Order: sequence, then C-alpha cells, then structure tokens
Amino acid sequence: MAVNSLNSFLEYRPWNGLRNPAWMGAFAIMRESLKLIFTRKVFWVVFSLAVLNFLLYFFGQYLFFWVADQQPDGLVRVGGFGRANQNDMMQFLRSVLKMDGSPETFRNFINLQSRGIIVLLVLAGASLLGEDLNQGSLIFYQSKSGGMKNYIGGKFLAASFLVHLFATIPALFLFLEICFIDTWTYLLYNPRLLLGIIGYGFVINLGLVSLLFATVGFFRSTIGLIMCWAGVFFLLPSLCAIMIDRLRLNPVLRILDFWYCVERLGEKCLGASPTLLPGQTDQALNPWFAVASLGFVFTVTSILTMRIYFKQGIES
Amino acid sequence: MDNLKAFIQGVRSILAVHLFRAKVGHGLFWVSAGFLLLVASVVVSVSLKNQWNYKTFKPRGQAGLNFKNSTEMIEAGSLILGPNAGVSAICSAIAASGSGLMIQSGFPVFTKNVVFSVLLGFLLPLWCLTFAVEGLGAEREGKTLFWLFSKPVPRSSIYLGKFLAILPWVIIWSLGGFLFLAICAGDSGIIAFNLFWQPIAFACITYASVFFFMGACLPRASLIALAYAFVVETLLGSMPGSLKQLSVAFYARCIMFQKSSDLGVILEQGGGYGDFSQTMAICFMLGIALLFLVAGIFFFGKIELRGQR
Amino acid sequence: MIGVLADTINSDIVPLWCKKVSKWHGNFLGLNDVSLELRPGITALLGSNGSGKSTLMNLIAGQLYPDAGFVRVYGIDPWTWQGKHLVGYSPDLDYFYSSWSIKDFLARMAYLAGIEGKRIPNLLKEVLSVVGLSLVQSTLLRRCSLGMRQRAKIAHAILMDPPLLILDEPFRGIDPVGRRDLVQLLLQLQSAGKTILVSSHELEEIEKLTNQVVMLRSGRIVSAGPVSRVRDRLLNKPVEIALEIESVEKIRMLAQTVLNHSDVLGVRFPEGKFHVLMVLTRKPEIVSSHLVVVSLENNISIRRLEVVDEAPAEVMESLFEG
Repeated sequence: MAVNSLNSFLEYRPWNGLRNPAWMGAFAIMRESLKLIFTRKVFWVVFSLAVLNFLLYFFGQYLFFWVADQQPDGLVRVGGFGRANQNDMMQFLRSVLKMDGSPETFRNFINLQSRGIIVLLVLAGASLLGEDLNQGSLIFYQSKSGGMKNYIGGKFLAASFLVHLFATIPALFLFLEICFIDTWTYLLYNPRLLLGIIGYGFVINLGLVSLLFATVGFFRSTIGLIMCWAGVFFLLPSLCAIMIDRLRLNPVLRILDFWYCVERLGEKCLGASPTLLPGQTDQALNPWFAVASLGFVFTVTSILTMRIYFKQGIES
Repeated sequence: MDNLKAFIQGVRSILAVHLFRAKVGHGLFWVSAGFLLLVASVVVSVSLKNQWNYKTFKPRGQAGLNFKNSTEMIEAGSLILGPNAGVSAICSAIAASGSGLMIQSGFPVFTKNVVFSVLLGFLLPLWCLTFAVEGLGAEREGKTLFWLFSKPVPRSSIYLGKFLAILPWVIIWSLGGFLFLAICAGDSGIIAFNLFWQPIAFACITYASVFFFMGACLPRASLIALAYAFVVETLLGSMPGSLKQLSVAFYARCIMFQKSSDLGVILEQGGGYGDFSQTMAICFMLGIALLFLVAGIFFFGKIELRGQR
Repeated sequence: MIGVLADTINSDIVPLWCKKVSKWHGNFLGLNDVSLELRPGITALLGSNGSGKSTLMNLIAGQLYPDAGFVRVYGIDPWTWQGKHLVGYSPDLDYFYSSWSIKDFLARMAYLAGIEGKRIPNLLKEVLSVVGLSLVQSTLLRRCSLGMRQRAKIAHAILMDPPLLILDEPFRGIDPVGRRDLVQLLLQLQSAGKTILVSSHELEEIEKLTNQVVMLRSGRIVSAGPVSRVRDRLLNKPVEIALEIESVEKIRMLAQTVLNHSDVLGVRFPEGKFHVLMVLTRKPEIVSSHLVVVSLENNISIRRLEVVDEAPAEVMESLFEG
C-alpha cells in the first residue's frame, strides 16, 4: 500500500490547464513582497501616522465646508465650547492650514504623506529588495520563466503600490470627499486637479522607487540606505539653502536638490502657487529644470539598477 | 600582574593584526567620500565666486537689507546730501571701512555655514559612525568574533585593541576631510582649520568611543547609531535651552565659540556656550569617551556568541 | 574514561569536568543538568540536531557561560583567558575573515594567541602539512571549498598544541581520503596524551576513532560509556515483522497461533491493510522462521515477509532515543 501510494506520487503528472503568461509572475512577486512589508512593524507605525494625517485633512475639509454653509450671522457654535467668528475660522482654515480644497491643500497633503513614504522605504526597503541580494535568493527568481524582468517588475509594482497607498489614493479620497460635501460642480471646475493628483503621485513614484532600486542594489543594507538617503533628503537641501539663500549663488543650483525638484513638479502638476521655503529668497525653479533633474536621476538610477540586477552571476 | 601582562600583550597583538585591516563595510566608505566630495564641490564653487564674506550674505530667515545694500545706501545718501564735502567724506569713509570689513569676513561665514552646520552637524558624526560602528560590529555581524574570543587574551584587551585600531583612521579621515574642505575654501578656511582642528579631533575621539560602544554591545547597532547621530546630535544639538548639553557637538561648539571670540569674532551670543570653559569642555568630551570605553569593556566581557546551539 | 556522576574529584588533573551544567537559549533549555568528566583519549559526542551538542561544546570552549553549574578544564574556568590556553576548539560555524588567505589567517591567529613572531613560520609549516593544506596555503578563505575550510578550522584548533581539543563535526564536508587522514591525525593526538571530544552524526567514523561515546538527547546525557553498551541497547530494542498473506479470513487465526510463541511480544493489524499482520519481537530470526512454519502448516500462502525496523536511519534514531 505504502509503496503504491509512493509510486503514484512520484509519477509524472502532465499539466492540462492553461498557463498564465510569464509576465503575470510579476504580480505574484508583488503580492509576496507586499506581504513581507505588511509583517514589518515599521510599516504599521508609518501607516498609522499617515492615516492620522489623512484624518486631519479629512475633517479639516469637512469643517471648512461646514463653516462655509452656516448662516452668515458671523458666529458659529464650535462643539460645546462656545462660538467663533465665521470669517475668522474660514480665514484660519483657508490661509493658515490651507484646507479649502484648493490645489495647495493637495500639495501640502501629498508632501506630508511623501515624508512618510520616504521613512518607510528607507527602513523597510532593505527587506523589500536588499535581503534577496544579501541572502542570495535571487537565484530562485532567475530560475523562473519570467527571470529578472519579472522580479524587477514585481518589486517595482510593490514599491509603487506603497507610494500610491500613502499619497495618491488618500488624496483622491479627499477629492471625492469635497465632491460629496460641496457639489459635483467641484469636479467640473477642477478636472486638472484630479489629473494633477494622479500626476504628482506618479512623479513621486518614479523618483522614489528608481532611487530605491539603485541605492538598495548598491548598499544592500539598511544603514547604507539611510546614509545615502540622508544625503539626498537632508544634506542636499541644506547645502542648497546655504548656497542660494545665504550666499546668493545662482538659484538654478537648486536642481541639485532632488526632492525640491520633485515637489516643484508636483506643484506644477496640481497648478498650485509656489511657496517659498523658510528663508528662501529666489523665485521657484523653472519646472523644466525640475524635469531635467528628475530625468537625470531616473536615468542614472536605471542604468545602475540594470547593471546590478542583470549582471552575470550576482555575488551574494 | 599576569592579568596586566596578558592585557598589554593582547592589546598589542590585536592592534598589530587589525590596525591596517580596519573594515568598512557595505560601500559606506564611498558614501562618506561622496558626501565629502559633494560638500567640497559646493565649497569650491563658492570660493571661485569669491563669496566667503558678508558682502552678499543675508542672515537666515530674515527679510530685508543685506550688508551690500546698506553700504550702497550710505553711498547713495552721501550723494543726496549734496556737495557738503565733510558729510560726504564721512559717509564714504563709513562705507569703505564697512565694505573692507565685509570682504575680510570670510572666516565667520565659512565657520557658520560649513563648519558648524554641515561638518559638525552632519558629516562628522556620520564619518565617525562609518568607521567606529564597523570596528567590532562587523565582526559581530560577520560572526568572526569567535576567532578573537578563542584566543587566550582578556576580553577587555580585545575591545581596547580594536578601538585603538580604528581610532587613527577616524581621526585621519575626519581631520583630513576638514582640512580638505578648508583648503577648498581658501584663506578663511585655513584660519578656521588652524583654530578648530583641536576641538574637532576631540569630538572625533568621543564620537568614535560612543559609536564603537554601540557597535560592540548593542543589537542592530548601526540603526541605533544612526538614530543617535540624527536625533541626539543634530536635533538636540540645535535646540535652545540646556537640553543640547546632552550632545557631544555642544562641547565642541563651546570650545570653538570661545576660540573664535578670543580672535575677536563673536559667532553667537548666549545659548549657554559660555558656561563651559575650554578645559572643562575638553574634560567633558574625554569623560564621555572614557565612560563609554569603560562601559563597553564591561558589557563586551559578558557577550556570549549566540546563533548556534 | 567517562564518569557521569562526579562529585568530589581533584579537578586540577582532570582534563574536563562539567558539573550540573545548564544553559538556556531564551525560553529554550539548551542543556539540562549535564555532568560529565573526561579523561585523556578520544570521546565521541553523539546526538541528533538540536540535542545540545554544540551548546555543550561551546560551554567547554568558553564561548558560552553556563547559567547553572560550572565547567573546569584542568581546574580552570574556560570562560577566562587563562582557560583558552588549554582548549583548542573547531566550531560548527563557517564564518571566516573571508579576505585573508589560509596562511595569513593562521599566522595572525597564532600571533593573537601570543606566539612569538619568529616561531610562527615554522609552526605554520608544521601545522599546514599535518592537516594537508600546504599546497593551497595562499588561497583566500572565501575561495576555499568546505573541506578546505574545515581543515583550516582543525589547523586553528591544534595551532597552540592545547591539551584539550573540542571538534564540532570535523568530518563534515571532507572527502574520504581526508577523513582517513583526519582519523589518523586524531589517533596520533590521542597517543600523544591529548583529550579529544568529537561530535558527529556519522557512526562509522566514530567507531574507527573510539569506543567511548556520550549521547545527548534534548539537552540531557542519556547514556555514556563504551560503544558496545550502546550496541546492546540497540539489539535489545524490539523490532516489527510485517507478514502479508493471501487470505484475509485466516489472518486472525494466524495471529492467535503466533501469539503462543514465547518470543513474540505482541501483534497488531495495521489500519486499512487487511492482508498484513505486524509481529513485535526481540528475536526476529527465530520468529520469522516460526511464522513461515505456522503458515505452511495452515496452508496459508505468504506474499511478503520482512523485518521493517532495520533501516539505518532508524538505527540512529533509536540510538538517540536512548
């Protein structure tokens, strides 16, 4: 009996079903990498902060439109605490917090959320990508029919999913919220805003994920990643601030500041009016320079990524 | 007596074996070098435009006139006041002396912008971290520590020997980097280097001791060290009040402010930087270094190699 | 000589004395109340994976510190630096300074161990030829094969000529010729009066080396002494005989007849297999022939008759189960 069952187990069993095309493997890789990220504590910490920020904006918008709807008698009741001047409140929400459904609202929101993405990718990026290089598990992906193309594609999708989960999707929710609270004419008047949110999401996506691929591939460890990203997101802005705001060099030098360029592009996508950083004196950077900077980073990181992942025989 | 002999012998042999093989892992060395080159290129570009001075410099976060504007205003005022030779002479004298002073002001500008904010606040902790955490941390993570532990030398001598093996590299790299930046900045940079190399070296030793301790005794040392470098040194170090006295950079700043004020340049007033004399600040820094060294020796002596049953 | 129960001994002359040693790995008790005393000669440490072999060896080599009890090597605690003089340890782990060559590695280790620089070249020549690495001594460690690294580890252990050698799985990854050489080397060391503790999964190599074994299971010593005693226990273990016959109806009748035999300990019917009868016994030869005789007498045709419990893996398992 035992022998029989063993034989039938060892027998070759032809596969009769339909095969998915090889590139579908990318989605399986994405699913598994996301599962890996969801098991990390740091993801849930950053995610809950992002949700808090989203709720702040959500109820801020709500408050703004609610106050705007009140009778114009000058005073509104705020909870059980007392009354506030309607105009003062509107003024506060509009000019200080910028929660009035304007392009600036979405820009501020997405900028804040993207800080969370940066922290998440820095701390969890090594387990998303670097571990495979370190532990030599790339060989399992290389031996599948999709090969490294699927691997890169799947990991790219996973990282992109995280970016949109944090930035684009909540921003679209905010947009929808305004449509529901206000009227749907908001959508008619602001179709550019809708496209801008998606566009900004993809700009962040492209910039951060390509940077992530190259840096993780190069350093393979969290500490290298942190140091490199600290240079990009911390040292470069402060160097630019010294050069331009304090020593009055040419403002075009700000194209060195990769993240400023990304935010500038996002601003352009949304059509928001440019804000100056604290202490910044120059006019905002020409968006074409920002495009050039992003393009440069994308090209360099892509070449690096290709060299790292498609090179013969990855050393582990 | 036997213990002491074994200790000295251990330190000597560890030093001899590891001094020229200080390990820097994961391309971190290249990040450090890249940061240095990046900052150096910025410094060079500023020097080339001859802008290490107050002529066009505007204090951070304040709108309004800069020094160039004000000298121009004085000159314009003298024109408006008309052909009164006396007034005009006084005005142009003020303007000339002012602009002369401004052109000579490279040292404070360089010091404030590069030495304090970039070097002391960012590069120095990072450089020290790169070398010091890897000192024993690389052996711990690479599990090669076993080979040292199986030798008949006291644990304390392993710790001290390794520390002394990385220390020269940390100091050479940090002071070398500082010198490189100073040379890039020209004369004002050289003045700054001559004045400040000492506190930078002391800060370096202290950082090395702190980070070496983390690498040797803490799990996930590099992350903790990075968190320390950014949170304690950069954030706390730039906070008002006395909280910044927790950071190592504070004591380096104390010495540097006092040295520059001896030269007649007052870089910053108040902020508690005058509360510690130079000797006291040096004592504090070396005290911190010694404290972490002793703590490291204590905890390192208790480490058991895990990861196998 | 091995004494498991050692209470009062003159520890200064005993190569190794462990008394009631326990070691926790977090929540997991890696070693539980182990007492052991070794005398010069080779002793084998047997046990399945996770039985605490490496833990015990790490404790003896001073890489771990016992949570309870103590370890003494010639009366000295191996955790201290003085104790490290006395123990040569070849660990199970496979991590090296990968950018060093074998020769550099051994030279630096010798230097760290306090050997004068002048003596090192001669010492290295000797040790490298003993372990058979003379020809490849300048290979980088990261380019070495598993066998070469294993030899390098053994070279490291005997470098200081310590009186007590702890070798964790020394035969792993070494080719048959190398094994023979290693056995020779260990026997030489034994005749030079060293105390050697060797752990292994491979009974054959161990049998060539020594007849003294210590067996660990779940962190406890389950038996210690000559191999023959272990063998006896093995032989005493009851085995099962599977008998498969043609007719289902007669199987219970057959079982009753078989049970009358004095060497049969019991019978059972495996679930779902109506043709099969399992017979438990300590003397499979006698019972097998008895089974054949009974079947012939009752006109039952036999499809299959086999002793199921003699697979090599199960021999090992029964060893470890004590």
